[in-house]
Amino acid sequence: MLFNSLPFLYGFLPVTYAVFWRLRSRTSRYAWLAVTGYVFYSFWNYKFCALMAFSTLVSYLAGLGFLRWDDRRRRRLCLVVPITLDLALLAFFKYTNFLLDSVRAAAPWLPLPVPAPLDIVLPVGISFYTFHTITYVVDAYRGVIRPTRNLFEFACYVSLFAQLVAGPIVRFRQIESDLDAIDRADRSSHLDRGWSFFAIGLVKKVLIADTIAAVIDPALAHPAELSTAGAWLCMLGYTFQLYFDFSGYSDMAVGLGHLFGLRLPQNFDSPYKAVDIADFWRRWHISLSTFLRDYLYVPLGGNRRRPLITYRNLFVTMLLGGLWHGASWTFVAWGAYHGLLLAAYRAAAPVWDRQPAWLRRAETFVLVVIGWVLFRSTDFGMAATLLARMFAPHGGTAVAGAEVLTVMVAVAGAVALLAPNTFELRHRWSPLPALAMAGLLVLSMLKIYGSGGTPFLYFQF
Amino acid sequence: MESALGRGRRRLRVGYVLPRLVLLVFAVDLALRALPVTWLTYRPDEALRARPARGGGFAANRSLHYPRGYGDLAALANLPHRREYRPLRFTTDDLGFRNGSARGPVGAVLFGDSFAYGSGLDDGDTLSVQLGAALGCGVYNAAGAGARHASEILAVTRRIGLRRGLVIMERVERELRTVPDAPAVVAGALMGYDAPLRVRLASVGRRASSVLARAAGRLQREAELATALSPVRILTTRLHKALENEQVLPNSYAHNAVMGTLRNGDWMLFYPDELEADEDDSAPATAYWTSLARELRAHGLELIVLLVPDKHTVYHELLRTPLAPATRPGQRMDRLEHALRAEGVAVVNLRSAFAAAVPALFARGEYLYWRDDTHWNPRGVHLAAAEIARAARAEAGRPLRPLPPCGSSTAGGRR
Repeated sequence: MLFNSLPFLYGFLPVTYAVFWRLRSRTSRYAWLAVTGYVFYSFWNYKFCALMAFSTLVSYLAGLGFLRWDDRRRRRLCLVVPITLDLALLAFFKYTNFLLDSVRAAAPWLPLPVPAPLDIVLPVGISFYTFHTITYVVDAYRGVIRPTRNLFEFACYVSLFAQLVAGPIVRFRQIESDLDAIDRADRSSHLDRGWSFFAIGLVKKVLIADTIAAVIDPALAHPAELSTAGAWLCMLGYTFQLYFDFSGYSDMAVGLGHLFGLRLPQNFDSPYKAVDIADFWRRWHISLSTFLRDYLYVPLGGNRRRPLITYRNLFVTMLLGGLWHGASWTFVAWGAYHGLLLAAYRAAAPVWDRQPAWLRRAETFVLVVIGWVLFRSTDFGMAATLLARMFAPHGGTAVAGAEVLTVMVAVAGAVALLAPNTFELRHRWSPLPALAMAGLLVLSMLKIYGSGGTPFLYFQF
Repeated sequence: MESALGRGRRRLRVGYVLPRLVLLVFAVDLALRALPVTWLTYRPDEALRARPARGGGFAANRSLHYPRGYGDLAALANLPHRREYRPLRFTTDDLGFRNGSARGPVGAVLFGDSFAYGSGLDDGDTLSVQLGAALGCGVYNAAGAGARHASEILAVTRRIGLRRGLVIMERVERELRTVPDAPAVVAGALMGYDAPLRVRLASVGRRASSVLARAAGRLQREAELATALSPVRILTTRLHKALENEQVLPNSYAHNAVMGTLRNGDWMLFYPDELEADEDDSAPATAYWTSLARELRAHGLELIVLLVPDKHTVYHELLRTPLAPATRPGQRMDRLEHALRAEGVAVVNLRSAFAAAVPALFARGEYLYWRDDTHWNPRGVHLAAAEIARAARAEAGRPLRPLPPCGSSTAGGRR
């Protein structure tokens, strides 16, 4: 089920909301949110609910173990077992065929028989909820959080429908206080903010991202036919599509969290306003980049050792961050590209930072757009074709809908580069902007009716 | 006590306005469902199939007239400039099948899908009408309800009072890829991965799962229907399609049809499924038809299997540029025809008759199928009816019993 779908808007959300606020006790609200999370998830594939329940149960038991045991050996066991299981599930479902395909590609040089690809279905959201449970277990091990004894509370945290399938990757400590006070939450105090976030997210996704996608998807299906201008237009379109799609989803998730008294963390902070690549990663998919920083980069040694080790750590972290996005070498290359950029920036920061802010911002933006070529491409051939089209003058066929795309890129660019982001707004609308938002909401709904809800880009990860 | 000003302010807050707006759109959607369905559909069968009569294929006792109906491929692929408008009247009887209200003696009953019930055709041009004229015997059109099993067929013949006669079952070539009688595969995969890891559920669990699956399936069907019949959806989709004209926006529906150019320069649309390679074998289909023929014969009914070629099979040799890899379309039909004949099942394979008729018609710029539709036109139906009548007469006395004399039963006998 999608947030931008009629069954969600007319069925799931009103029922979940109405029942939730009828319930009074903490545990009943936890249980209701956990159950609705599983119902929400089962609309994709109910069979995978068992997988999520297993991951939840293992991490919950590990949490109880941390509460019970103080000796180092047992605590380490409580850390290692759930993380190993989570990563094994993730590896099996997401990376088995990638590994087999890669080995097969190298088969001419290997004297090994390579098994055929397995018929594996990737469970939606597995990359997100396994990370939820990993952060919980690691934080409990580190003593950052006190694990919960309430299974429903933990199940509610893992399977909360608002953030279940595409994040943000919420850490237990970030919503622990709201979960504790869930029975005392004030419905009316969150209502305006919740609906404001939700409506803005819906408009970003449906009116901006989906309209851009309608033009660029057919054009990017034949990259060799694009002219240089067409290739740049399409990649600029994709740059904004990805941002408005994912940040729109995140806004909706945050808004939905508010409707149930839960404050989910910010996931995007105007990333295209970044003045360098490190700044970009402090603003883009914040919940992932901070996860990578706290649970990978820092344990690797971070920047506490000599520069070469720091560069290596940056590179490895981003490489794995790329691989997290998808089981494909183009994602690995995208991660490596950003790892190199971060290392290069770290080495050349004094020089870079001497440039005027507008120039740094423009340069960062172009570097990010080039990275998105790898991210969008289905293989290196497509990436090479697109880059060749962008950087060597080419003629080509006109992009159908180029005028609409140009307007949408201009609008999206203005919003992304000049306007405050959703977290910077006060969400106290005077009548006129409120009416404008109401109009945009209706327009979004009519678009959902007319074209059907399209999945969010980050669902595939 | 809250002042009026305070209440007014509260009502302008987004937390108050937006959820009510969502519900208002929902209410409008529900209210618009009172509109006549003809206003929202482009063809009568589309309108009447949504809520069929019990056991029938369409809503009962309706007669819809569309002065400007057009082809399904032009509609599916959002190609308004390829529409070939034609008046369509679609009349259903009290059982929810496409038959006029006047009932005469019936000697044959026709089953099948859109070709048989006459999608894209006017009432007077359907196969049952043409076949009735060719056979000299009333033919009841019972197509459109998806009847596959002998029990479903016999239920219809009982309702129309046909005790002895012909059962003609139409099957279009591309539908032959699926065996009509294939048992439903019970999903045994617990986690969605491969067979060795499947877990067999206990029989109680299976039954419960089957009940749940049926309930979930019904719920899903109802939800899909409710969405499909949403006037707001239909109207906004039309608006969306109007914008997707390759100028404002690319046409995202274009993949629903493949455009071909014939040697005389005429365009013709094809259904993409028609272009798929023909690889599978006919054994399961043969077993199905043979078993069905045996069961019907035991009840005094003789089965004729009518195999209708895809439009691409008929016209692929006349295309300027091939649309599919070099294969021989129609092979599956030929294999099935031979297999059925070997089993003593009467079969009419229209491929040869259509292939023989096409060159002369093509020279005159005439066709057996609508150019904007996946279905046949009155000319194709007429030829099919003649072929069936010829085959029925040729078969008479051999495995087939003689055609029952018209008047031996009537379509109104049930009541």
